[in-house]
Amino acid sequence: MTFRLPVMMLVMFTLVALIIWGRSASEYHVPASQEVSTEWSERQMLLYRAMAGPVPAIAADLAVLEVFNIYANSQQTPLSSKDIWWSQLHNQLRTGQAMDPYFRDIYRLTEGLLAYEANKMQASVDLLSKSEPYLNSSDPLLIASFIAHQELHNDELAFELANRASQKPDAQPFTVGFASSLLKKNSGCRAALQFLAYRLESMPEKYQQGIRNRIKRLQSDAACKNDMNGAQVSN
Amino acid sequence: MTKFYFLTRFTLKEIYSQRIYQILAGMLVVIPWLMLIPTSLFMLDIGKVFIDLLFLCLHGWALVYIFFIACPLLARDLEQGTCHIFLTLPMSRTQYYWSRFAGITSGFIPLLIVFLVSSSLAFTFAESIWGTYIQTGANTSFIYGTLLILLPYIALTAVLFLIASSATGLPEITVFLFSVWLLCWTIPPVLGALQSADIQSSTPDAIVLIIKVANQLLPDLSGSDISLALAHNNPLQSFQVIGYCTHHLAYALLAMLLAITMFKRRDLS
Repeated sequence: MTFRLPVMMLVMFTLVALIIWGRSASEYHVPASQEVSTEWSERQMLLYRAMAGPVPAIAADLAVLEVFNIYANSQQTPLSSKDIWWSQLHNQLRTGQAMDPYFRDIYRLTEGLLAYEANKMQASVDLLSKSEPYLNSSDPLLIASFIAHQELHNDELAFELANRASQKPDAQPFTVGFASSLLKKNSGCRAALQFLAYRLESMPEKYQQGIRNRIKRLQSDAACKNDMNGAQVSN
Repeated sequence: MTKFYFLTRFTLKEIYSQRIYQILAGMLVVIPWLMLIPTSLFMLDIGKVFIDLLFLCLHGWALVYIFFIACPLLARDLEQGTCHIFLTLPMSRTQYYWSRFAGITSGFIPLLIVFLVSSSLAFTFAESIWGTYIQTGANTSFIYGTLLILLPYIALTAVLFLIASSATGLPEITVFLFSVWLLCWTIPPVLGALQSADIQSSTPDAIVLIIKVANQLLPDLSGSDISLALAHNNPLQSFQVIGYCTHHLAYALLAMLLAITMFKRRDLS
């Protein structure tokens, strides 16, 4: 059976049109479920590691991508029901840290999202302080120290972390200064705002909102205003 | 020796002429550049992410080469009786097997060169865009890592010859080789998990023993510590590298010697 070329073309175009129609008509998007397990266990991490085999670093990269995804989803969720996303965010960051503890993006997202978006301060300090054996950078420990001081009001832990940060090879005078001001217990709102501004500079714009909110809260805080005025008078 | 070179060259020509090999080589030119797209999603360790993706790509093409090019080539020899043509040259079975191994292993080299050149150019481009986010010497670490990661695949190629020495055809070779690869992939992390006291206490001793024996019998394909260290530009200890290379090369030789012993006793009629 042979077809002439125009007939053949017509049949082919019809089939292409049918494929396009069929595909668009059968599209079905499964809505993202929020009801997922938020339990974290060491065994789960070991299973991930077994599945990752020779490429655990890729598993860490995927965890970071999942963090971006969770953050994007959380922005479309009402404030009252965001907790489920934050729990997942914490799990992904822990997975990423366990898979590739050298990966700096994990610590940066812990600071930017877990601490200042999810308000999981203790969890952030725990995760950031895990960087110590792996990174030469003082940054994660310094941030952990700042969170411990400013948010957890645990100056003992804050000093210990700042002290550890100041022993890192790349420790800046700022780190040492922060540790010493903690020791003297004279760091107030001014130091906190300076520190947050310093962190804001190196955070991509997309993820700055949490830190900006924190700065605004500090600036509008009455005790903080008094502290700032006091500092100006003394200057 | 002339026969050895002849069959090695013949194997290489046979591999080069396959369209899948040419497509694979062409894809290796493009893939490193495509990897720049997911890399751009990250924040600080961009160089590390790029190396991770390139290493993943390396695992991928090495497996494609072994499963889709080397396996069918060896299986055709056995199924279609092509090996008889060579064995009647006259060529000993030992010479035949070593030449085929040398030819198949040499088939990695052009792919490796294409992959390294394309990746290095992509690296240079990435450095020009992301500058400080890519650590100094990342490209050298990547090349070093690529050469190290490829070694286990030479051992896996030797395992392929070991399996083929007694297998009846392609399905058998593929299934057994895939099983070996899967075990090689999962056993090292499972052994790592067994170091946890909690897991060790809940795992029967017999299972632990079986896993440890299997680990000793199979080549260590993981190399995950090495790839993780090199992706972060962390130096490797020379003793560790020498041990790693010795392990894989010795494994490849041992598997080939066993394969030849079994192939010599095989009834090909």
